Amino acid sequence: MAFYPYSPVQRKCVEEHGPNWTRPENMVCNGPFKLQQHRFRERIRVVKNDNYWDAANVKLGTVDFLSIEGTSTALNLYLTGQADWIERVPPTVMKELKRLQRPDYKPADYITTSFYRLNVTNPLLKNKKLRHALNMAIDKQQICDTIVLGGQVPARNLVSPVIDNHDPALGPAYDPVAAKQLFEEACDELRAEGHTIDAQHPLTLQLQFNNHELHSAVAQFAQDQWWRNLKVRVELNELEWGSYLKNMNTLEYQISRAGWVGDYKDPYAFIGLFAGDSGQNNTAGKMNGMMSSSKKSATRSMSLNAARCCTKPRCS
Amino acid sequence: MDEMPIIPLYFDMSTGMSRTYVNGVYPNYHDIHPLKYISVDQEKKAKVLAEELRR
Repeated sequence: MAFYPYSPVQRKCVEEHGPNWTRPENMVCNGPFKLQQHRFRERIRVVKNDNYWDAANVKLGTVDFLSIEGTSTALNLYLTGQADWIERVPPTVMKELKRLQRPDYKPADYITTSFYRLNVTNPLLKNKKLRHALNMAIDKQQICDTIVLGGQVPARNLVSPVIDNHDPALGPAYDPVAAKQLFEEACDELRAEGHTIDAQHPLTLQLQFNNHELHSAVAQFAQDQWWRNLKVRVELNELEWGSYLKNMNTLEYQISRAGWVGDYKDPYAFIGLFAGDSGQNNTAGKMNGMMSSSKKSATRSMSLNAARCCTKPRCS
Repeated sequence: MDEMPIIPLYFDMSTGMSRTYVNGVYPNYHDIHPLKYISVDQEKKAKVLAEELRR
């Protein structure tokens, strides 16, 4: 019950203010902190909530969440004492931070997978061979070694290895030669369906991602690999978070960057994303029989893991 | 993974930094740090920042 979708909201407040119930002057809060101001693209300020049941043990009076574009700017504020805590450091300084053995830089395992969604309802991407070719044409080891640099591990499946009671089925490894062969077969099938693909009209796809320097760097790398290994032309579409989400929820994309943080330590925290009934999260396409069966076995062990997870305090 | 509706890229790490004068921040696989348990040692903060300024 500590999972935030279960956090209570005051009914009267929501009914009275409608979509404005989250404004500082309207919001009713039962957590240790309450919202004092929300300045768009500047900061969110929360202050201690004196009505919180355990207010005596809350130590901070005010917390400012600074809205900063660019991890370098954030690091600068941190190093000059204007921020006490930053969420992510620029990949370019990670090696140096490690060399300096700074006690305040300790990368930790994170139950998160970074991936690209392929819209399987798209006339091109509904071709399975094309999807496989796109996957096999990207060298993920190189993404880890030359772009993200924080000790990340290349992925061949969705479920995070932090979940240790799970033996995942792995997708194929990087193999540009096999990828090219699959791609040619896919092109034959697509041509038979009436698509024009030749030297003058290379297969063209669009990749959307939310604006962040890291996502942009990975997208450029993927774009280069897809062109080099398959002669697939990929246009990059960098979007604000709101437009990015809207496209994803309405399936108005071909390829979309995604990341998922597992909410509890069970494979279903990831596999459930593609369950038919998972609402807005099943945004790559539809569940198949295989996922159906693994879903059932995961659900069985979920109650235990969720219960274990709930003993951990969460911000609300 | 046979249907390949996604292209897995990498398993992420949390790579943030928190000052040594901030107490109550512990690494965990959700990268969640409930503010209720966090405090700032103001005395240590002043000392650390003054020290850095000298360097």
